[in-house]
Amino acid sequence: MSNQLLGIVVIAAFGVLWIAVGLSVARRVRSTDDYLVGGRNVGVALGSATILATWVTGNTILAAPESGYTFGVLGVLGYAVGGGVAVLAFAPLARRLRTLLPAGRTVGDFFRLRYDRKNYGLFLVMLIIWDLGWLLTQGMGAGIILESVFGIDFHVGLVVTVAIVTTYVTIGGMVSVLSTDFMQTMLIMAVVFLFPAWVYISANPVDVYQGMAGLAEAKLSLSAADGLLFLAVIPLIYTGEVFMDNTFWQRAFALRPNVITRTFTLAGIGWVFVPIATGTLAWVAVGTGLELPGGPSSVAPEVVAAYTGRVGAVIFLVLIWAALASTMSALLNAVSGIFMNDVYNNFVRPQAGDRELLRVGRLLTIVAAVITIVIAWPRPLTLLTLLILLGVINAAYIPPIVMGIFFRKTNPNGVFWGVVIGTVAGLLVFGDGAFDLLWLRLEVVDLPAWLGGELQGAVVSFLISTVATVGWTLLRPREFDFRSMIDWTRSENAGIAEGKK
Amino acid sequence: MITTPFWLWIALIALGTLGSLGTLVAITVTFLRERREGHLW
Amino acid sequence: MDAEYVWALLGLLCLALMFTMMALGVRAVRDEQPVSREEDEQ
Repeated sequence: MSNQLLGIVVIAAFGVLWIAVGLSVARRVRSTDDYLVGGRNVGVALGSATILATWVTGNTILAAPESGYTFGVLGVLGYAVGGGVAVLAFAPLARRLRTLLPAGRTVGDFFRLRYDRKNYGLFLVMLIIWDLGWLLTQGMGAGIILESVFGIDFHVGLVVTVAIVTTYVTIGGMVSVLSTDFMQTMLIMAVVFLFPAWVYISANPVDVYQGMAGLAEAKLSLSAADGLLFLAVIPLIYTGEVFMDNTFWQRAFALRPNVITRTFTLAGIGWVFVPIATGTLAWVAVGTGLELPGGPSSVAPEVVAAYTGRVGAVIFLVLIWAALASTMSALLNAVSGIFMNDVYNNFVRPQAGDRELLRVGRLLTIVAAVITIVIAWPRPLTLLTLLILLGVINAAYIPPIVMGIFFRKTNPNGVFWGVVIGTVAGLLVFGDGAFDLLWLRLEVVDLPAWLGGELQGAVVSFLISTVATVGWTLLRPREFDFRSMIDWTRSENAGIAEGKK
Repeated sequence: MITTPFWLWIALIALGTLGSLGTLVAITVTFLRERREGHLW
Repeated sequence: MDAEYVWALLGLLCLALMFTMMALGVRAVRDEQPVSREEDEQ
């Protein structure tokens, strides 16, 4: 059987399985609430599995090795610590959310009730940009891996992957996602444990280490400036991602309240092992001088192909596929949640009833899927670069979210201008004086060399946002009554009731 | 330059592998317990 | 080259600020925790 045909068979088999499982539980969905937060009583096992499934992405399998290849040991540590810290740090926020928003469904609900209209609108725009960017990386990952392992055309891989995931997510929403996530997480963790063992046993660790020391000693460094910068800034970016993303907020709303801390802790710690396991695979490429025709993004599949042959390559593909599918499903459900709960139900049809919302939500899931395909089609930046670019936005939103959840007096104007100025400045620093977006580059200003850099962008955006939010709040505190948020409910027949303002 | 010593390097590799396995076991055990108690979702 | 070390320290500063904000926040609400509808930690 040719490689291509084998690949198609494998994808088709798992695709059918995920769709079957997803659809079989979909009948539990009776309301928009079920569709978005699955019953609000999820336990530790399903809860930690869905958090892991969401947060173990194609990037964790492909971009963590990329950073392990580019930055060596510090790259792996930075990635692992960054992602783990982000999930652990979210636990106290998640607990507080359940108290503040018992009827909450999305992060948008929080922004709408906590801040003013301009903040709400800006946040929705930024969130959608961020989530579409994240979806883009998953779509691209699908195309890349299917091409590199099976020689399936990038665009075919992209479209087929999105189509399969969209099928079960559209019908069953969060409920389908929870059940498929559990299976996918079990698969991911089992395979992730397998590969470093398999590869390093084949490749003799002592030889690899000595190879690294000889060919690329800098990558064994624990003191390299660029590696330390990565280690310091990635946790900031990843925490920003988690704090502002609807996938995490939905899961905070979905969990049974008394297991929230336990679940995020288990998921946070468990997650750390995954990029370490995949990242260390890249060191074999460094230590043996392995050629990477597909660039650093493909270091993991290239190493696997070289040392575990065809069987290994197929299993590895299944691992990446599961990671991509589970994240993509979470994102499609989360994005459709924002579209239907916030954009549609607030700006288009506030009077929409539950059945209408559910129908519209399903349609919007498909819209999100199509957008994903369209933007991934031209195959833009490398995965890691894109994450760091979006990290400028993520980092800027940390102060608004933390300050808004915990402090009564946070000034909405400080929040707004902090985000705007922080993001603009951060993007300019990221682009060395230019707006370096996916498809175009706009030179704006001449910046000195020390004031430019990709990771530096997120540092700048966070600092400006913090200074503006905290500073403005100290100078002009604005009282907010959390009771109004706690007491807010959705009216049964007329969509979202205007609880206040 | 501070170089990663071999023992730390190999410990990281082992940590990734064994930690993933440990997480798998922890979730499975929890799943079985919660299913028995009817607390899955 | 030197500039990157400075940025790395700034990055650590950002993390410290973030954790400080969160710690202060958790402490601030602990004192004025409103009655919640859901059962809290048992």
